[in-house]
Amino acid sequence: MYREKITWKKIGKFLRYENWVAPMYFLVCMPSVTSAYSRWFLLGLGISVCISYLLDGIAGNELPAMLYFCPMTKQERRIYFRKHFALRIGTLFLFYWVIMLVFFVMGKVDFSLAAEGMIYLCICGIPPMLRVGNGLQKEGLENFYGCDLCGNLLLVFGYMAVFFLQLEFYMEEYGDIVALVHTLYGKIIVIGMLGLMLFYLVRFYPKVEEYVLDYERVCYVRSQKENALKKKRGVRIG
Amino acid sequence: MGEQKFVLKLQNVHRQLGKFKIHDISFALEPGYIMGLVGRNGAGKSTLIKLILGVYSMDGGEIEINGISMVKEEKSVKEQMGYVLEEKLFSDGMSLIENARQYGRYYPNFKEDNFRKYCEQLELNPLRKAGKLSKGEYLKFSLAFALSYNPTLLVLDEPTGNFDAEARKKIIKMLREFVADGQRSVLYTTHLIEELDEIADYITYIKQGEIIYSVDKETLTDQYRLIKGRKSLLARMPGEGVIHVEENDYGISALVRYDKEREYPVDAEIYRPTLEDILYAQMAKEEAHV
Repeated sequence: MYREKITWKKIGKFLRYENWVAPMYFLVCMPSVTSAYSRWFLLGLGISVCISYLLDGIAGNELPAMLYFCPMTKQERRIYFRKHFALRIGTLFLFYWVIMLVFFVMGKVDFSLAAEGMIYLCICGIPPMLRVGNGLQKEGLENFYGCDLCGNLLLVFGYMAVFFLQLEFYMEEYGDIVALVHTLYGKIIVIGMLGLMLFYLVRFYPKVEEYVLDYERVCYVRSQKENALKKKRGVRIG
Repeated sequence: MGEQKFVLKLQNVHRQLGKFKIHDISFALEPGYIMGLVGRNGAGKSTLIKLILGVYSMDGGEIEINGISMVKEEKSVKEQMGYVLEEKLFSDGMSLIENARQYGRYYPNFKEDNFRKYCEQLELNPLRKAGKLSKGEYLKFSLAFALSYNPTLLVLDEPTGNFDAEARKKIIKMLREFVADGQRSVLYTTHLIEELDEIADYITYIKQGEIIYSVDKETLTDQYRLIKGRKSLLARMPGEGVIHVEENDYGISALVRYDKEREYPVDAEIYRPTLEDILYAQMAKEEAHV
């Protein structure tokens, strides 16, 4: 039986995967919330997002590019995308409510808090899914290359929204922002927020520029680099 | 006399993509032939392939597969096209056979037995996950899938670049067999221009989004001559017909446009060039002008 060898390189690659930023954020932020209820619902939120991403990773839930090539009418293709999108969001919501139900039975959360968590889930969970799902909104087939960019931008907005909502939590608990910054967890949050913004700036800004320059030009630049490499190896260029 | 049949026909196809433009492209491919689409990187080969496959929409013009318009009948046109591209198109998490079943549903002529047969020929395990294939194996898998639904046009973008010599030979043989019945055709791009001599019947040369020529191999090689000789020959070469000159320690080798009327230096060795000689010289000339 074929079995893939697990190496540190592969583990590193997996952990670098940007989608893990969201669940990690939840897990890091979770203890900072002093209210027990908030803590449990953030935990539930984090677990459900983690499971959803994990399933994506395991099941290879990315929207296959093959769909753009298969013989389908535009209507058929759109229906497929909608189903795909609905399935991904449905999985996330399902896990969230199952976990919340378990916590509820344990007496850790009430339903009003669970419902509030749903709003957070929508803000932080849907944008990453849109990375692949937003292709459904477009009919032009070449948008396959563009939808990734839109999704990434939504992801950034999603995280920003979560940060601000998180701050709102603190304001309720500590009264003012200065007091928050003076707590250990407050520092974690502020540093985390700045770090994440920096991460996205570094990670996605060049990408935005690439897409603005348009996909074909990007390919050209890439192929020029490959050419230089091939020339070194003595391969003739076509 | 009946109208000539073409498997692929492009008429005035144009498309603006950012600053890059595909200019009024027209060419046709008859059944039973293999056409090599060549040009330097960034010339527009892959863009043209994506236009033909219907992944990019056109700003204008017409693409027909077996006389059926891509714009009007996208679905039935795509049923007749097989493709092997550099991009990973399939679902990584599924095995090869699962992928084939999943996407084979969209092709009325898809046969699982065919797919298994081609997997065997290409030494692929259909139970392996697509995400775990190497680049070369992935291309083989794409080819096995494309052949399994018996398309009339097979489009390949850089198909053999990632194969070892043995696999490349095998694939070239499969492509020859594919067109052998005289009903089907292949359009492909490649970096390895020496391969074209072996396989292509027609050559379409593209430069900055424009077709420079689209001719059969014989006509093309007939238009040029390769002149070899001492370095002193350089001064006596016909000026305007010289495409490219290569100098080395022993002398020169120049590709010139062949003119029956013209007299060439008596001490020159004159050869009919291979396709590789012509394309290499043209690309080198192009590169020198960039």
